[in-house]
Amino acid sequence: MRRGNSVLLLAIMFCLPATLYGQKSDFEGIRIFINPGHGGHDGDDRHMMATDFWESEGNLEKGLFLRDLLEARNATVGMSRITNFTSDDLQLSVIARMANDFNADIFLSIHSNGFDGTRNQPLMLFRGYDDQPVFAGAKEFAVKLWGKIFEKSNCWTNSFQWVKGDWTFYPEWGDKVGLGVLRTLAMPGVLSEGSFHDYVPEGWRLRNNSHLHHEAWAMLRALAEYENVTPELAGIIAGTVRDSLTSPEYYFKPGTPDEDMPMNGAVVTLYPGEKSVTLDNLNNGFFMFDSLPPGDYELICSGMADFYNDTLQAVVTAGMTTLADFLPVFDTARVPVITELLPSISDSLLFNQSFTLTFNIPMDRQAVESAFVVEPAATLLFQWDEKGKVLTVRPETGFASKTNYLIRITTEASSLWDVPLLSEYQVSFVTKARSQLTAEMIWPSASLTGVTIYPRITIHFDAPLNHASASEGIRLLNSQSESLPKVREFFAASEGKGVYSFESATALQLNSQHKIVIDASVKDVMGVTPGTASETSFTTRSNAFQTGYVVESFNDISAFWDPEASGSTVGTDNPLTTFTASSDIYLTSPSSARLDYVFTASSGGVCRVFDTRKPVVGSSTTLRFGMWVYGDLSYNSLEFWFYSPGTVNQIVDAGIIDWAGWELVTIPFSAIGGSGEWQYHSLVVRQTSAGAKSGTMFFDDGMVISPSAIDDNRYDDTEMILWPNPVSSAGTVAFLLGSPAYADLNVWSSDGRLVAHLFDGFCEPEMHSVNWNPAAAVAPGIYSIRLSLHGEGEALWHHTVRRWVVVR
Amino acid sequence: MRTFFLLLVLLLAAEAYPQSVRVRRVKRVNPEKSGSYLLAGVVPGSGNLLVAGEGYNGLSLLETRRGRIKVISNEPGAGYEPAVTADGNKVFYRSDDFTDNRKYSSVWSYDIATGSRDLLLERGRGVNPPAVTGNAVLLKSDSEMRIEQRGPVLKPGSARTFVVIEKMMPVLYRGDERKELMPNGDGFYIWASLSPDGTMILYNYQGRGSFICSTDGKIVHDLGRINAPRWFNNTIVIGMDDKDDGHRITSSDLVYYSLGEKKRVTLTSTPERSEMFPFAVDSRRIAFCTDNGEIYIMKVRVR
Repeated sequence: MRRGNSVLLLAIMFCLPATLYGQKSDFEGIRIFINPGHGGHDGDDRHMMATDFWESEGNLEKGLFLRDLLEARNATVGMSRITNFTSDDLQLSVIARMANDFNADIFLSIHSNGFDGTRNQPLMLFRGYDDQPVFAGAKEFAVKLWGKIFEKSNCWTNSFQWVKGDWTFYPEWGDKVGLGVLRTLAMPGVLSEGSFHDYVPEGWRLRNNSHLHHEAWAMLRALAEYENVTPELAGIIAGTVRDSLTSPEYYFKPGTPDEDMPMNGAVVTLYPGEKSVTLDNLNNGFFMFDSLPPGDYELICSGMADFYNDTLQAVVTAGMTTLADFLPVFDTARVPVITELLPSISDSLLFNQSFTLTFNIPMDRQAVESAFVVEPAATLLFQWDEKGKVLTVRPETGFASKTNYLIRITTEASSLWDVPLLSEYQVSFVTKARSQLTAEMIWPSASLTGVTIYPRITIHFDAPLNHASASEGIRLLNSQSESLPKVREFFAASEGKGVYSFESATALQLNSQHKIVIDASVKDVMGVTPGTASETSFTTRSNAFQTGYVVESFNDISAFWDPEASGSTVGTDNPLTTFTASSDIYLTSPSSARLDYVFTASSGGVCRVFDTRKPVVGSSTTLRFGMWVYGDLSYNSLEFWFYSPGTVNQIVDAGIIDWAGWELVTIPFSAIGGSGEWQYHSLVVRQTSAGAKSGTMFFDDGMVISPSAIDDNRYDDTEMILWPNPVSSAGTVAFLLGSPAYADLNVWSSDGRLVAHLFDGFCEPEMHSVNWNPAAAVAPGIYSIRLSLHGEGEALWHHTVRRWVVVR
Repeated sequence: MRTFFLLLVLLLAAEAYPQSVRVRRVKRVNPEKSGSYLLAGVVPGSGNLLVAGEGYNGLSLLETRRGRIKVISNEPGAGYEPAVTADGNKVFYRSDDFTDNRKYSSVWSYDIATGSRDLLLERGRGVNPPAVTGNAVLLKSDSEMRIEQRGPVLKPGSARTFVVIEKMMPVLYRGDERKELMPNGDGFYIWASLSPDGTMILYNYQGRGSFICSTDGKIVHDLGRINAPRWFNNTIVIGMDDKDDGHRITSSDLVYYSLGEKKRVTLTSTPERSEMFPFAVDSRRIAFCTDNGEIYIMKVRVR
């Protein structure tokens, strides 16, 4: 072969791949229409309370980034929206027409998914049946897109290829109805449900823009493959930083990386190039480096308290993501130090005072407890946090009155890795004199009216009680001063205090005064008495409870999901938080449902129980929804969740749980958002800042009730207006009262923190307005404005809640 | 005699300025070949409808009385915005193919009487759906633009007016003039059409609402929320008020807007049926389809 021919052959071979496959170097001339699904923070948007994630925001961020990527590669891109206001929530027919008039080659609708909080996997939908797409190209693109999104992550709960025709996927909508946005497209279109936003670990990741951008990169790769465009010459390194010693408090799929707690605030540095990413504080631990030339890289993770820096090697491949997950090693050689002791005061401490010690690293619990000495001797109870860093110590019965004590922690105390304290730790304190047993809280409280006829009398004492003396010396008297037989007596001792509660064997008389009598002979475990007897009077409700049409009897416990599997549940102790049948305490036979819940932190907990039956409750706004609820006096908040048509979640605040025993809790249908046939689907206990960290409640007979049956709906039509909304620096809350009431107005964050107390006081039946100027420290986000009203002589607070968006 | 003339004048005035629409009857059209159809247009003077299959694939004539179907084309995209000459003889449509997943289109002319087809615009990229005024059709792609007369001349070339969407804005072609209109500023303009008398342009501005502007681009009517707006006549616009939950259409009703009375009226209120994409068949009938692919004819009385 002549030399010239050889060169020609070489040139042809070099160009062969492009020639053979007709690959384009970029997207020049290709028209792509992007629809970031939903829009605005209202209407059909999805908001995840547990993570404060809004689907409309995530969809838009992905869409905008994908647009930029495509335009940088010379594509012609149309978008149905580029902002996120209510006016951006376009009708599906409009979006499809935009794509048609745009004359797009391909249409992509970007969404995230939601189901039950336990699933996380991509789902691609095209128009048609599974095996019969209206546009063959749509299914082809859907398959490619599913593959690209799936391969860029390792946090999926399922791995099967989930690519479906919408007619097959939504048979209940009718034959060939399908997704509205795909119905009138004149080109191949795919609706991408990139991941599940109600799977809490993924919900936190979706708050991270890099994670959203990563999905956009996957979309770009799929579009390039679909349009036969040369793959990207660069690649991506993405991953997470996690603490392998800690498991998340929310639900995660065991066996996935999500079983390790993501770390906030770490710094990941990439070499060569020395690019650094500081992880956000949104519990996702996610980082990404994009546009990296193929080759070998080194990643160093630093900036983590108590953890060694960690190094990973990664090889970048063109057009691919290389996953690099850090599980940094804890610094086991560190010397343990007590960094904090609470309380800090040492004089006149209570007889049942507890102490909280915080160590800098996880400790050997047995070694610390053995090294813990108190002089003079007292029996102590120890309680540790999950990581073994925080120890709470309290006396089993109490310290002696007016006594000097010394606490010593010897050098026998050591860390989890056998490193001892450098020196003995000592602290002394003096207890104050305690002359009598005190009832710190009695429910029903003095002069309370409208009390349920099924109360659980509950008294909190400042010390654990002697059971026999309390059972005999604490009585409930009716209006004729007759002592009522007691059932289900219960004693509890917690944090050095005591609780005694019981029920009457029979329902109390309506509209009748009763007395709780505490005799002078009642004593605590140390023999201290109240000194004198006392009485507390209350009055039962005036009207009988009404009945309604029962839509949920709670008799089939298998219809309910455990809180940890119900989605949105966050901040609970999973093994201790359960939903079970109760044949012991119920209002209507044969059983009720019992919720035991334990929140793991002091705020932000949400305990949801999902009802798979999702009973339809109707659409009439003149009716009310009611449920028998056995309150636990926890002062947490109770919510009923509904679906409006289209499985749009509607949350209704049913009030603070400020009673014990059976009470019929009702809410007006008019408080449920949306319209059409509502379905009740969940009950939720939301932790409040003043609420108990644990409790036990029972539920029976959810029902639809005629409004004539209810006697305490005087505030249902309370109007509350916020403006402007969104608010930036100055806003006003106006509310109109129809009757005089004591009002309490507060601003709460989405994680249950009290952000601002705006007003409390007595209000006449007229329009009132209060200003709120969000301080600079108030982060942008969604806040709840709660107006609580309490009429004179009323037993319950009535709450009206509105959402207020703060922007900066 | 004076009374007679007065009544005649009033009668003529009422006919000349119809203001309101009242529904008399709705009847389902049952195509001989059952399936899910999209309504794509009407054939003036015949009462026949143009229907398309899923994804606007294929285009057929539907004879409304007996439900007979006559296939015009089975090609992809043929059912998207076909246009018919004023004399009802010719149907123009765009057909698509996706080569290498890129959309290429051609424009065809179909003679209803003979069933013959002519290729008007060669296969290419960026081909607009054909726009018809009278018996003339405007053909446009990325590479060419021309107007062809396909029947008796109803207006001289200098007076012929077309409205098309280009780069998401209404563009007016009148004689040799080309005018880009953006009455509401930047944004997506969709569902644009010229009034029967050629003096006004109806359009929807990126889902925010429908409007009517003059051929100079001055907004003269704000119709409010009306989707898929179409001219019923020069004084009434019909359309749909569709609602969804972000995933599926939850309801849709037909509405009309009276330019004279400046009000929007809902024509249907049927929770069990979603009426969509209406077309004026003639001065007394409106055709529409539903979200599950059924075709209906609504008889109306216009006052």
